[in-house]
Amino acid sequence: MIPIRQVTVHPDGAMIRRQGEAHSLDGQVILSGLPLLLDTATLRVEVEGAQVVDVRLELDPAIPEESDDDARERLQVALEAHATLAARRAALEAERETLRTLTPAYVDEADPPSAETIEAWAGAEDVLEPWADRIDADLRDLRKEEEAMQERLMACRLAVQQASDEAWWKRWMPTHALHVTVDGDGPLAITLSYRMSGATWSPSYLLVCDDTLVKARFAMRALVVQATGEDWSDVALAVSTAPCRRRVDLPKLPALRLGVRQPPPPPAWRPLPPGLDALFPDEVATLEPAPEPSPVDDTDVFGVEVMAVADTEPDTLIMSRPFMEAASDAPMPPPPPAPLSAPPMPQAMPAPARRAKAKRAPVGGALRSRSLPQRPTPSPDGLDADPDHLDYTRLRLAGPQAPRGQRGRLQPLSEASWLAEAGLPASARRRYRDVVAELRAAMNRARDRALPPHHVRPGPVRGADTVCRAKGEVHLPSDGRFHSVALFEEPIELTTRYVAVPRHDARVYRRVTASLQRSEPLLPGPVEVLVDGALEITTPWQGTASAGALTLHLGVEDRLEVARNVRYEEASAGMFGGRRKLTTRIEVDVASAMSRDVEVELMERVPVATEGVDVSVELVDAAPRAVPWEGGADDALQEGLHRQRLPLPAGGRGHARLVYAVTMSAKDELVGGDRRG
Amino acid sequence: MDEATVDAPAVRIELFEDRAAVVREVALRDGRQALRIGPLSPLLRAEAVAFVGGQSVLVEDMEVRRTLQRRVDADPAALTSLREVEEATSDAVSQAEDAVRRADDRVSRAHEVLQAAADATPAALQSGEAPQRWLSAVRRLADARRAAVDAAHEARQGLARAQQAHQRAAQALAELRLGHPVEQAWLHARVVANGAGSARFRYVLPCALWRPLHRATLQGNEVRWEVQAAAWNVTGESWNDVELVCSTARPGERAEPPVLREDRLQVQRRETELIVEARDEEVTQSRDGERAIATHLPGVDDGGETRVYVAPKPVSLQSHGKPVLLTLAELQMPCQRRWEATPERGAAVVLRTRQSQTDTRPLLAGPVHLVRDGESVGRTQIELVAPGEPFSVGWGSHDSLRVVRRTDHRTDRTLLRGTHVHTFDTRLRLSHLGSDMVTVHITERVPVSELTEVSVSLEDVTPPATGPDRDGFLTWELVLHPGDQQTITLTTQVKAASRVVLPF
Repeated sequence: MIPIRQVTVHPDGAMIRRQGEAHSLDGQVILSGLPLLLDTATLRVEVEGAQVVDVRLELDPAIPEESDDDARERLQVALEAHATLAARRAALEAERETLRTLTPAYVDEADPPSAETIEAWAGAEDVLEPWADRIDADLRDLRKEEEAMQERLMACRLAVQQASDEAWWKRWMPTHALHVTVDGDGPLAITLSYRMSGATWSPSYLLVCDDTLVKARFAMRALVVQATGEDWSDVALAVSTAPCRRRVDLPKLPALRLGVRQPPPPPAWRPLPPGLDALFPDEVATLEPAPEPSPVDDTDVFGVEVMAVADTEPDTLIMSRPFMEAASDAPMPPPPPAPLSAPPMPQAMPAPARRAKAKRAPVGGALRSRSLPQRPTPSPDGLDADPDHLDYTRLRLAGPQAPRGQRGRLQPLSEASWLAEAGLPASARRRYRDVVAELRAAMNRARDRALPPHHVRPGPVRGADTVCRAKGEVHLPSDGRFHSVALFEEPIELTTRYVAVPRHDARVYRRVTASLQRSEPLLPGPVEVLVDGALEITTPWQGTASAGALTLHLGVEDRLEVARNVRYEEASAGMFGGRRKLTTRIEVDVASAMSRDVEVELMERVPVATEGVDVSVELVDAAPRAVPWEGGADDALQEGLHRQRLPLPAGGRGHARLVYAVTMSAKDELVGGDRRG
Repeated sequence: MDEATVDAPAVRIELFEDRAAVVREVALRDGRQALRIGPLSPLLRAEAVAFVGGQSVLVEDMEVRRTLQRRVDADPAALTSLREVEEATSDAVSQAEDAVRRADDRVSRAHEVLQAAADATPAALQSGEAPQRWLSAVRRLADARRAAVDAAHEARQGLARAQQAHQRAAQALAELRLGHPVEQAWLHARVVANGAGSARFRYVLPCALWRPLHRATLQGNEVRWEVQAAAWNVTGESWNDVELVCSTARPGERAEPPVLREDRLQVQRRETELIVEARDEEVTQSRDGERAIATHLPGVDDGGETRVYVAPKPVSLQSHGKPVLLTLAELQMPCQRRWEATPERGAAVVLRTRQSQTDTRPLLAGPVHLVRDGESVGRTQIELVAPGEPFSVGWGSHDSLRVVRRTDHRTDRTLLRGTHVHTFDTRLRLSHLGSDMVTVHITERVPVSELTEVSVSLEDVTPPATGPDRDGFLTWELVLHPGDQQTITLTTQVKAASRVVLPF
């Protein structure tokens, strides 16, 4: 198998790129071990060194050569070898017994042994001793051999037990094998790429500052989770905000004409000629069409929708979209294999006629239906091939034994036959479905995994997608857990400002800005702020769309305090000709306990007169100078907001003043009360 | 008259969209003769058989007889080979049994001899035999017994192995003997031949057919287009090295014209309200209409004229129901290529080529396997392309180009003036996440009014675009550098009289 070199993680999956060398033999290269649930519609195969002739994805059932029978046979052999050892030992022990009887016996009293005989007897030891030695040595060896054989026997018994056991099936993992046909033999460089669902990511940031909030390091990380079934070892990782998609077809964009209805254009397909069934001789037995079965199982074994159709085998499933997951992002609906009578929807503008009918019902609808009569459906020239039927390599011709209406016609390969053709025994079909369901469940769990606090699923920033590449090579196991990957890091210089909104909050907030070398927009996500090595705050952050600019809020500065006082004055009306003048005076005092001079930005608002209403607003006085300010973080334009920059000496105090007047008719009052401060 | 069983090899197969015509050649003697031709497909019908060529032949009568044959009889070669294996393994078993018996005899003999020697030892040593020589001899006997014991066990193992092999062979043989019977048909014909030679007969069968498909290879500015055929066969006949013809002819179509029926008129109240329908109309190519999806793979339209393709080489088609792919024709077409996006139909930027069909026959509808610059990118499909017609093919999307589209629709109904105004603000954002410079063509559409009551105006286009043409298409050509992001905005207004019902 060629290794994974590059992975791009998208919010809804990952694009895997494998790259490596292979050798073609007789124009064939087989790359096995591809994941079972890879999105086959996105598979691309690039070959350098020869021309690609054909690419087929087949199931590799991975049932080992060593079957049940083999394990039994090996057990048999082991048992026999064990019996041989036992027989050999019995023979040796008998031999030792025999050896003991090999002594002279004094039989005949009349004929006592001579001195020579006695001497010769003594010499017999020279034969008997080495013999006994050898028997003992052999017995010792034999005992050792027997012990080893006992262990082997146990292993064999276990193997036999496991072969017929769930244990083996639990480890079973069928895969896809890619058969590439090329026009030459020799070494090839092959690049494969395909989409896997079951992976997602989310950005997070780290800001490490010194205690003066001047020097800092800013780092972006990606929290990546994957359960694609493949470990990614030493891969170049990239993360993207764009959805993970590929399409092959050209999207069709017809002209949009506002006019009177016209019949549809002639299609490229035509119904089968009549009279096929008459070609079958009556003598040929057919099976009666089976009654409409209840949907057997609509889990998608191919990563696709599966639906049951009339068939004779109860476990026969017909793939509705066999090897094309609906990965196209266009509103090209993957049309379900609809019955002939269902009129498909017009494509670009969904059901315009229907909406018109709803608006003007009942009269318009009734008229419409009479004046624009419905075409008979199916219209005689309105036939299209089911896109699922267009993978001809997965179509099989039904033989004469098939039910009437199916025999002699092309049928998509049923799941059962597909598995059988791949060499998977019928007994393993249920297990195959279990494996697929388990893989899919793991993928869905990874995809739907709740993100840690403040994390946001990545998406386009102001409509534009971005991609970030990880540094170095990354190892990410397929375990469905979050792994943190470093994306970039850069030293920055911070500029700290102090911001207060005294109207709402008597506290002063720290805001740091910096410029980044990196020009790409930064995505929303949490920022961990470490000041002087200690975790200061983990804050959600909206990210930044503008190039290279970083703005972050770091929480409250305890050493600055704000006090706000508001006074109202109402001027008498007479001199204005029956008008009232309301003056609001806002006074803000700030006390600093900081060891250096700082500047605090104070945010205040001046009311805004609504157009066409007899009210006028006037800014009377402001010290320091109040500068209009057009709004906060969100894009909506805000009017009447002002900010004042108040310098504060180290350990000193500051005072700001903002005065405005609202003038209106003496008979009116302000909605929501006259006191606006 | 004696009936002669003859084999008639298939020489030519014509495949249609739902059936096949088989032409076989049979050798004939001079004069009148009875033939039994076969085995043939069980789907054969006597009325579908005609003698069509070769030696002139008078057919007196013809009949199809069907036989149910055991698998064994249907495939004698398999039976022979399996039987040979079974016999060989059976022999091996009896040989192994003999070996075991002999080894056991040897063990008992060695045992007896050793026992006798051991029993005689005391007396022999007493009687003055040289003990060393005697004992060495006894030891040799003991060694011999050991060897005999080992040999006996080896023989037993050999026997077990032989028995297993035999069991497997016997099982395979039993399966062949007991499997489902096979149906075969035989053509019994009495013919009078005018001279010795060979004659051809032809018959039509269901359960064999073809469909066109394509393989397109894009290399630079040229497309190599291979027209291929997928052929299926489950007739029960296997055809080897035959001449293959794939045709769009419809032998099953009716011969007489359709019946014309009367048209009885009725009236109803006219509609007062004008309902406008937005109609998707593709301008240069066939349009998307309302079409039903066929439950089986339908036939392909041939543009009104029967198209016939002859396979360039002899072909073999086995009866297994799986497709066999073969190349029928090859075309070279120069093309123009560019990256195109239609954001209304998806965020992808797809490589599109435009080329003219260079064949004298049309390209028939079917799937196309795409190879783009050495990379297999997947499968698309084409519809009927007439000779000389320019057509487009999509070659897969760019992995690092994205278009995001957003449309805001505002409606202003000014009932006093009797009009309503629809304003569409469309905003496109393009992002290039890759590392190479790309030129992208972006197409948007504005509605085209065919009615005086409805007017369409283009309020704002930034950056300026080419168009709109008379079909309402606007095109931008943008150059995107790595990391680029670009924005396109488009504002359209549709004004209509208030009695007009617009589809949006």
